[in-house]
Amino acid sequence: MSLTRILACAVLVLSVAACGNTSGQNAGLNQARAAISGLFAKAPPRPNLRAQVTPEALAATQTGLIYLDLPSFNADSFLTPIGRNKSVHTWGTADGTQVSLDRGIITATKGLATDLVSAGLAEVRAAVRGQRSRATRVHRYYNGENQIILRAFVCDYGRTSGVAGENLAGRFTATRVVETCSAGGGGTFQNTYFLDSRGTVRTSTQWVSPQAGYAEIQLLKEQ
Amino acid sequence: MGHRYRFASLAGAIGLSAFATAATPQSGVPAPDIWERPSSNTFGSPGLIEMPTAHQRKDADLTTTLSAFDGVQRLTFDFQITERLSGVFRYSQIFDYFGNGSYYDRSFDLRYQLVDETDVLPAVTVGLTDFGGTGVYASEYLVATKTFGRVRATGGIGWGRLGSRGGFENPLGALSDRFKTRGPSATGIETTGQPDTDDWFRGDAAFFGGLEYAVNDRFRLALEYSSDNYTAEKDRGIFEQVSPINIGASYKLRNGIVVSGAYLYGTTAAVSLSYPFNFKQPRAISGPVDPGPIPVSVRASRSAHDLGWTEDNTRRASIHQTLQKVLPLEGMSLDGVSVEATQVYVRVRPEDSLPPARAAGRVARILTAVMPASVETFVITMVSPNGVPSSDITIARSDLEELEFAPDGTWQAFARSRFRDPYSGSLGVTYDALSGFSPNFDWGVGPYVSSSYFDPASPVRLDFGLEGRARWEPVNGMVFTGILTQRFAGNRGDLRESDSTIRRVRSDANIYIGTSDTQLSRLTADYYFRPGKDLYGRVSAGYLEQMYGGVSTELLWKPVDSRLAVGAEVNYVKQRDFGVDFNFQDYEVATGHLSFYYKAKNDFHYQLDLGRYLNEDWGGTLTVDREFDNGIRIGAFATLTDIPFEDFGEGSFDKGIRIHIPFSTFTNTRSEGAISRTIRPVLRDGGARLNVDGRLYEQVRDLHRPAMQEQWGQFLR
Repeated sequence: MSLTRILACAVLVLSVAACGNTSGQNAGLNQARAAISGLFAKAPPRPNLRAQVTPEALAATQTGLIYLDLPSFNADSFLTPIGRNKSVHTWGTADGTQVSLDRGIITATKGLATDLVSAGLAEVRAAVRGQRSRATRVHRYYNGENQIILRAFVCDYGRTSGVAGENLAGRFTATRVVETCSAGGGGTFQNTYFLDSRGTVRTSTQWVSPQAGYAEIQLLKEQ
Repeated sequence: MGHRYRFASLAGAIGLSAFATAATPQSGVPAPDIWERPSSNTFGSPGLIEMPTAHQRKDADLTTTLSAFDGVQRLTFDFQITERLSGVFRYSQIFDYFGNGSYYDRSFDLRYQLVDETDVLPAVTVGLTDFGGTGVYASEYLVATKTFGRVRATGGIGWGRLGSRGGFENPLGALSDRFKTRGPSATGIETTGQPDTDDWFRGDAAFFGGLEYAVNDRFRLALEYSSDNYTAEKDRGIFEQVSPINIGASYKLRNGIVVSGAYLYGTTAAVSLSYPFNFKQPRAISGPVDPGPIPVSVRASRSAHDLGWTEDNTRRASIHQTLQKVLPLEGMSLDGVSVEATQVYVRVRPEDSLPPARAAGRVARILTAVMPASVETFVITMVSPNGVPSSDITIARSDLEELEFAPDGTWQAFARSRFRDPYSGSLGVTYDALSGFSPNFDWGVGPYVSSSYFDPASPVRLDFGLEGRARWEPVNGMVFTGILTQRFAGNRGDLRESDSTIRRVRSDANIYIGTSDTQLSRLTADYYFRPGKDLYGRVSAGYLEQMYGGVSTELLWKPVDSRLAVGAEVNYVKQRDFGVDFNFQDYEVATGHLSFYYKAKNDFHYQLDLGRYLNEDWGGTLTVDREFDNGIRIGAFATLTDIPFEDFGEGSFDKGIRIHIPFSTFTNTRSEGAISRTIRPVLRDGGARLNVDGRLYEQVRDLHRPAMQEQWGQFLR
């Protein structure tokens, strides 16, 4: 049998869609196929979510709402409350992207390709409230074997009161907290929090993971 | 607000980014290591151009190298087995080595690093090249490499091929005169496959060496003095060597592929491509991301005292309905629920693609949302894909509430959970009538590709076709399976004919493949059961595999928290007709093994099988695998039986390597399926085992404590 005929048949066979009643049966193959077609497809234009936030739209929203922007992924979305455990509120999208905030500070993410498994924030919470000027952060991540690995950071804090804060829901008088963290290995990141007069973090830019980079979070409506 | 649309694109973008970005957005990232990995030589080993060097690759690197020059092509797979030990499998095509066209050579190497490089000491490595097989490249060496900033200097002493230029009397001759002489080099017709230990480090020795210069972290230059005289190649007119000096350069592309070029022997140019793939850090391709789990529902304080619901049958019915609806969405099926006032038993069967530890965590989260507040203890029974209850995991609900966002919550949850054998636990539970096992029928049709390697006329042979499968489980643990394949195209039927002089229990593969395009690969009835504490049983009957049908029975002893397991398998089978239909040939055999399995703490897994093989030969198989927590496995096996090497034929005894890479290591979702290959240099008729599906150990062990512990990082994922 000639090589061309074998190759032609291979293409034919691989292009036959697998079928059956078992949902995941050829998920790997289908995914490979989707990845290949994705290489040639143009990304659809990104609708402007920010423009959709109007006072009327917010008034009509029944639940709490945050806006999340992940510039590294070129993606943004709205999240609603889906769970609460003591001071940690978990916000999620319908497709399972989740961000858990402990008094406004990211303590875990789920459904990103590179999640923050957990962040130890005991000292950070106090520092953002202005009760200390230096704190340690311990982040946990998955490595390539799905084992949990630790990254520790030492962070310093600077506070400025009476600055103008702004998010999509409006302007407010804010205290700005700038958190500068560095790890022993040389990595650094800088988070910024804008707190309103009640001490609630309304707008922030926080570092999530090496791949996910920074997340911008705006609290548009409280629960 | 139309945000559903955004979510989809968010997930897609995340997948793409995971593939494209490795760099961090941080400043102050340490400068790249200019000597991150050693260069590869044309033999695919760490080396200069043709000579070896002493540094090892990164632990768990599988480096594939393709090199070509003047009538020679080599494809090499080099696996860093441990930090110090590496093994090579090489497939070479040498034009006219033994006359009459291309000669295909398979060779194995081993390298062991004796000394790590320090400020004072160089790295020192001892290596055996082509220690089995036909010995075309047979050589041994001891090599030292020292780094001086951007320069690496290497010097070594070689034997065999590496002692053939400028050779001197073997210094090891001082130990024994035996070292002074070496047997003749390969003739290519001898019965081989056994390590040529009698020749190692024998005969003349010679020095080799060279320098490497790293211009930056991508670009390197190399210069070497080769101690290989290429006597065999020169005699056969394959290539000329006028100079022992070789020069080369290599460049690492952004995607990790290293392209090298060299000028060899003063006469010829060589090119090679090399790519390292690290099993600990597989790179995800683009695609969707698995959704996050439902958050833990925290009970209101003091609600746990309310027991009013226990009398409410509507409430119970709704619990069952919810679980039956929700668990399949998470990739599990529900085999039973039993709700008591303060405790619930849930029996679940996770799909293959779902890591059991993650399955247990997701069930626990769902139970916090579904169970009345008084239910404090969750007993989750993990059931194997074929219906064997294999472990009871007991988790306290208040621990989940406490640990959901605790920094070290995952490991504290493991420390507080309890594993038990269901035989003395949940097996005695009466499950609520409304819940529980329902007969299931699954079927599917999809494409398949099958392959054979190393046929001298065509090194890779492939078949393509469609495969239909059906599986029916009318009662828990009783499974009927049928597989029918239809080949569309391929050339595996043209495999060279067996020259085996003993009963052809496996080597007639070409006839099995070539006789009929439509094959009933499998038609079996299996029964899985629990005969006692720590014991698992299986009885299978029917057309078990392509070449054999009959009865297969198995008993496995595997305590839930043990790293050791012992199994006994007894089969009585008959060889099937070449058409792979309902008929049999006139060959019956009783075959079976006593198997010992041990999962060590350091990623390694050992299996020893002792018993009687398909050719009525008695012996044993040792299999050693390295198993990564992401599901990738790579290993090697060898079988020795009472069939003499001469009767076995080419290769002397059965051996090979096997590799298993789940698709899910390349995706951000739980994906079914895997690339799974067993590669033998040659398939013959000694030491052949029955290929029965559904062996107990593989089903049960993933649900036991040692395996769950390695995956426990995913419990709260």
